[in-house]
Amino acid sequence: MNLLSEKWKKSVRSQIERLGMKRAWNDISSKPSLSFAVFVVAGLIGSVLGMRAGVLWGVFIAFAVYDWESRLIGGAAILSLIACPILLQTHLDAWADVMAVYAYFFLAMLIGLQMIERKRYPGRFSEDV
Amino acid sequence: MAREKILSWLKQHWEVIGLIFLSVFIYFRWIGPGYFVSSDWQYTSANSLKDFFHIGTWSNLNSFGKVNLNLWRLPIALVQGIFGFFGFDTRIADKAVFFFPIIFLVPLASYFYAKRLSDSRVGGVAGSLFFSYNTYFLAIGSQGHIGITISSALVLCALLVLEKWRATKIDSNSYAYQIYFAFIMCLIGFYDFRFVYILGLILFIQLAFLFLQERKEAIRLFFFGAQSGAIYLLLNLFWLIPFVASSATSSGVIFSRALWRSELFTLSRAVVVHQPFWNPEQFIWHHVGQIPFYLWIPILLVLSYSVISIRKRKDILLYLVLFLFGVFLSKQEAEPFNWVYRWLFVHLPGFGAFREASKFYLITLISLTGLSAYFARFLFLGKEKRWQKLRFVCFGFFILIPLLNASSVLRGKIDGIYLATKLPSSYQSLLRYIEQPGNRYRILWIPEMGVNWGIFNQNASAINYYEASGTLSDDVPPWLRLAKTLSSDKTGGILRMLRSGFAADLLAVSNIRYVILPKEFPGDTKNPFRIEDRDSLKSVLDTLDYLKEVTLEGVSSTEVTVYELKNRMQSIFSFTSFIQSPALDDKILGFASTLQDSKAFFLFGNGTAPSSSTVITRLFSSSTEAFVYGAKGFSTAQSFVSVSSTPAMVMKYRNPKTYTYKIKRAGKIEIVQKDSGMIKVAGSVALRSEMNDERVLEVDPLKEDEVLDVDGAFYTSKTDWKLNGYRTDSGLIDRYKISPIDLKNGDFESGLWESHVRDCNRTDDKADLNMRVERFYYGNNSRSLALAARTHAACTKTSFKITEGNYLLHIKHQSPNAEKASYYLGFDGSNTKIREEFPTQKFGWGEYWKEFSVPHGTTSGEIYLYAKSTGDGREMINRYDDVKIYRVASDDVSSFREAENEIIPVGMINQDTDALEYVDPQYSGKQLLTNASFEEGFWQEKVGDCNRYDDSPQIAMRLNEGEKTDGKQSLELEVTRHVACTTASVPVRPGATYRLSFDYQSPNARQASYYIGFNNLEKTALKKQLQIIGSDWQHFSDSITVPKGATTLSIYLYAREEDGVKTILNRYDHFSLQEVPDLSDAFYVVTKSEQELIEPKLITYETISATKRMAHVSRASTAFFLGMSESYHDKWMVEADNKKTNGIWNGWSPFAKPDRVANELHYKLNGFLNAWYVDVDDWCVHRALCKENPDGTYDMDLVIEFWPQRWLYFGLLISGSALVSCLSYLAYRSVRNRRRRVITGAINFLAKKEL
Repeated sequence: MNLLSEKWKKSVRSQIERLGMKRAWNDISSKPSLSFAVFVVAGLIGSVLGMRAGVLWGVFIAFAVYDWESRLIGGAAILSLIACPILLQTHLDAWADVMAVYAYFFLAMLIGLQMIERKRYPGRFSEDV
Repeated sequence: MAREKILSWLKQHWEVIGLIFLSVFIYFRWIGPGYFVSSDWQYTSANSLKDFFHIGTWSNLNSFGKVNLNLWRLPIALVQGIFGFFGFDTRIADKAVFFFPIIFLVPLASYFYAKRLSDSRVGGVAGSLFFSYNTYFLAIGSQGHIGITISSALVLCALLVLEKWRATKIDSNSYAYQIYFAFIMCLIGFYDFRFVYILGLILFIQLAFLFLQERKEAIRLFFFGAQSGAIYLLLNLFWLIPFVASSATSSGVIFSRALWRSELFTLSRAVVVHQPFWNPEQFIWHHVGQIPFYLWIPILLVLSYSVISIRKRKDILLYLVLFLFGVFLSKQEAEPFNWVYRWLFVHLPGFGAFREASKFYLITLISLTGLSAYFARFLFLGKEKRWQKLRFVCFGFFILIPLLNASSVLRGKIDGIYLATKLPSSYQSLLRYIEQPGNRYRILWIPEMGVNWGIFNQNASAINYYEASGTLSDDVPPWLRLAKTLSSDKTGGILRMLRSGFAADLLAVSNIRYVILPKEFPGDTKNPFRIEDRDSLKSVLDTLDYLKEVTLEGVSSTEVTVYELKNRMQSIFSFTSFIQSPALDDKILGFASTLQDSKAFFLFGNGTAPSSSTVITRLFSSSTEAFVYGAKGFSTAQSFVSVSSTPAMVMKYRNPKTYTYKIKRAGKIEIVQKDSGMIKVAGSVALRSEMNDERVLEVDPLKEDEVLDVDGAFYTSKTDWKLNGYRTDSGLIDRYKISPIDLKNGDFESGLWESHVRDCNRTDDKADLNMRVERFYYGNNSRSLALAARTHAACTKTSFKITEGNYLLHIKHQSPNAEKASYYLGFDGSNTKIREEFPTQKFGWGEYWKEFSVPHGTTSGEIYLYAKSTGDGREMINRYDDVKIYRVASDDVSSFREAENEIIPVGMINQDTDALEYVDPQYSGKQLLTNASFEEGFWQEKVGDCNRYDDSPQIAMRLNEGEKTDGKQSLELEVTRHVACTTASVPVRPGATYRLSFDYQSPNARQASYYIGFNNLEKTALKKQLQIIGSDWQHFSDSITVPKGATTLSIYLYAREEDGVKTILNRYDHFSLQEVPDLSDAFYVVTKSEQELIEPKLITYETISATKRMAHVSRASTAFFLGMSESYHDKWMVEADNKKTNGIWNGWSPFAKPDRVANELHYKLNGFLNAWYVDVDDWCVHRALCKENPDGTYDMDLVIEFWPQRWLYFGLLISGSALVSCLSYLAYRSVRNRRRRVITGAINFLAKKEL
């Protein structure tokens, strides 16, 4: 299977390294004041709008300020969406709706981050299929 | 060669041909000759289609007349009218105007749109399939909402034009694309104007998106939209102007309907564009279906691709934005931000037209169509090699899943207008009959016509009782709406109404000629009654002496029974006196019918009545604080004061029609005397209220083997007679002799029927069921059966011998937690089965009766009793006792004697000297509510949430010491989200009347509201919303009659959410609940008219159009009322027929100034028709608008017209001019371009030659 080929493994590993936790930790630890600011803003939002809003806004701001790969958020949206039909089939409709809401928020975040990215790095966007 | 050319052409256009072929294949039935009718889609004959040519601002095709709210689809109606002109009915017209656009336009528009976006044919195919065969279009199409589908396809055409315009950098002075765009907008609007609004929203999103990315392009787009919008506006002024002129938009018909069934719409449904009722195998409208699993697959694929490729095309980002926007709107009030839709619905202009969110599925669909096209292109033309191996699998979903949806239509799993049906032969004959020329009239269909068969035209309007009686708009007669309130039974109310004394007059004034009782035919999806009801309906209609059954050629009376009104009135008539009454109800009607010389010309309300009116006022109106009980005696009635200002007042009283039939069980059955009150004038007894009812049943007491059937409720000699009598809504009352059959151990005194409980819903092996015999439960001094189910359904059965005949089933039932009890009756040797559920009694035992017939050849039967689980793990318990089956030995073993109506005049009362007093020693005036002013705290510990639609309520309850009207404090309910409520319960006497009063106030709410519920079997409830004016305390009081079987009254107080953001406060104080005598219909005050008027000798008229009549009045000697049987609208005018209303300019101009009857003399006859007071002195003597006859009487020619029609002409002039200008511009531009091309070609030619 191609998915298990060395080339794929390498590619996946490099993707994880590029997009993953290591970079995130480096970004957070290298700019402690910025990280603290993100945490405070998320906390403030959370105290006003609730914990869920605080966490989601925190993630959004972090992705925006550290310029992390926004498609990760898109991936989270897709995973949440995949959960919906499974939950619906198991008659957990309420949970399916919760997951759909998360998918919606993640997609909205992706679009927001893309807008920012387009302003920041117009060169990244090629009109290619 | 030709073959090669054809093959080459086919090869080039394989996808277009394939899509069309597929569409034709799926909708092949529409191409056939059948009748396609269902739900909101109806058949219209060729003659009726011809009437579409005369469509104006007033419509009376199937109503009592109303502002034509469909004027925006006038061009479509005109096209249909052309078909009618050539003798084609809707079987042909619908194909051209609706079916073919769906078959051809929808797949092609979506194909070209998707192809344009993706620049690939495969993308076009993917987009087209996705768009054309989604569950939304297919589901709503079945109900006839196909205008939505066509409008949606036209939205794509408009966006295609926009895309082309954006790609074409033509000179800025050209407006051709704007005109094309506006033309398409018009077409969209003609099919469904709401989609123009949605197109506007899409443009707005594009504009906002572009504004963030490319401002210059955004500004260009803005001007494009503004110019197109301006042209669209000009082209649509023809309906916008009369809409505004007739106040149609502010009448609330379109824009202020309440939000509809928010619970249907969820975020998951919005994401996959699942129409809530879509169920591919068993499609039933209003039955919510599960989202099919397969619908998620293409969505997940497309979104995954979009997320990965979001940087590769900026349009993907735009379509994701559109997707989010569409999903957000089409989830209606579901999470997240569930308050937004309601807020937009209330505050955003035009958004009120979207009472449910499914129309916004279009935005999601457009975005997914675009994204699908990109995805398909990526699969087939992309550079990513590894995906190409999976392309056929992925692309397969885009073909298979829409096709899976469409296959439900193809296989006939979805019916509605997808399946052909036949026009019943009786309807065909009836149609021919009503199409004969003649005077205008109306047909009242009871309970409702086969609405889909369009048996009406401009000449013969059709009124559907059941539909009209549920309509709250002003164009429906109050008597029709009243009929519905008279009975909970669907047809009982109209029967009661038709049997009332004024029915013949009310029907005649309403210009009803025929009353028709149809049979239920296939395709009559709205026909609400069952065939077995028809015979009983017919038997009642047969007894009405003002109707005669008529036989029409070709109309079978067993299918369609036609009754004609014996004494008809023409639609324009005169009369001389109103009966003015504060409001209409059956008691007022009943009372008025007993007055001598009265006719059914009513004026409702307390406004100024013409001096020739007879004014009826209730002495003890339920809406006024007319009396105070106990030792204090009774204050002067407010209503009485207002009436007594008339000097020549005659006071009459009449005993009321509180209950139609009454029986009292006291040794022998006798006429009821309800109370012993009396009226005192100046200290002396003037009247004694004996309260003889209008119709009183006097019969011998019931024997043990007899049962009384009152409107389907059965009573035996053992019935607990707490009431003084029984009320019948329909007047259908029977007394049967019965004998029990041998059903062993029906009372469970000998134990269980079976040793083990059965599982009657074995879905898995996890049954948790129980069955036992209990003793002494709820005052039942004997054994009873208890069935319990945590899962599945517990049941038990017994068998019995039974033969052909009529029977009654009796079951006593009780349940502490189940909403319903249920049983099954089956018989050997036949397919007759009875399976029913009925509401259970929570406290005490309820009695259930069911009448049934056993078919020929039956020897035995069996009965099952059930307790059904609800699936949430709770143990549902149903108790049963006294299961008996009685054979009905004979019908109607007694006759009924009725008392006469009586009106007794009691002479003059002088308001200056005579005090009015009501004394009744039986009533103490005791306060029944404890803690009525909240001095001892709350009614309940915690605030209740009476609309828990999610887990985020924002509600509170507190006591307010600052704002109060009684004692130290009042109750304050606070709400931001949901509904805050609190409740209290009091014991009450069934049948007794209570007076509820309280004070209410709010600093910011628009209304206060309460709800009263009773614990009777039917769970009777009353609710009211009280308008709050200003921030002062207001007082409310009303009378409440406790329904039979109810022993507890629960009152709920509310603070209701407004928009989910604003915090609303409602305060309540000073409650009072006292038992009172029901005097609301006991005493009336009647004033005689001062002036005797004489009707004109003759009125003739001619109907010019739906909006214009010419009337000729002959030999009028005094003032008179001119009535017109069209529902009231203040823009109907009576004018003198002279040059001020005729001529080239004055004949159509809305700026003309004709001689007209003043607006203040225009009355609402019977609460819904037009009547004008024509003062002969003013009209003929002072204004000289009449012709005087030698005998001193006058003749006059009058024009009655609906004035907004003139605004339609004015609008048509503007829109027509705009259309001509646009077409001229396009023609000019086309000629100019051609010329330029010729010149350019010539120059090029010459240049070449020169070279």
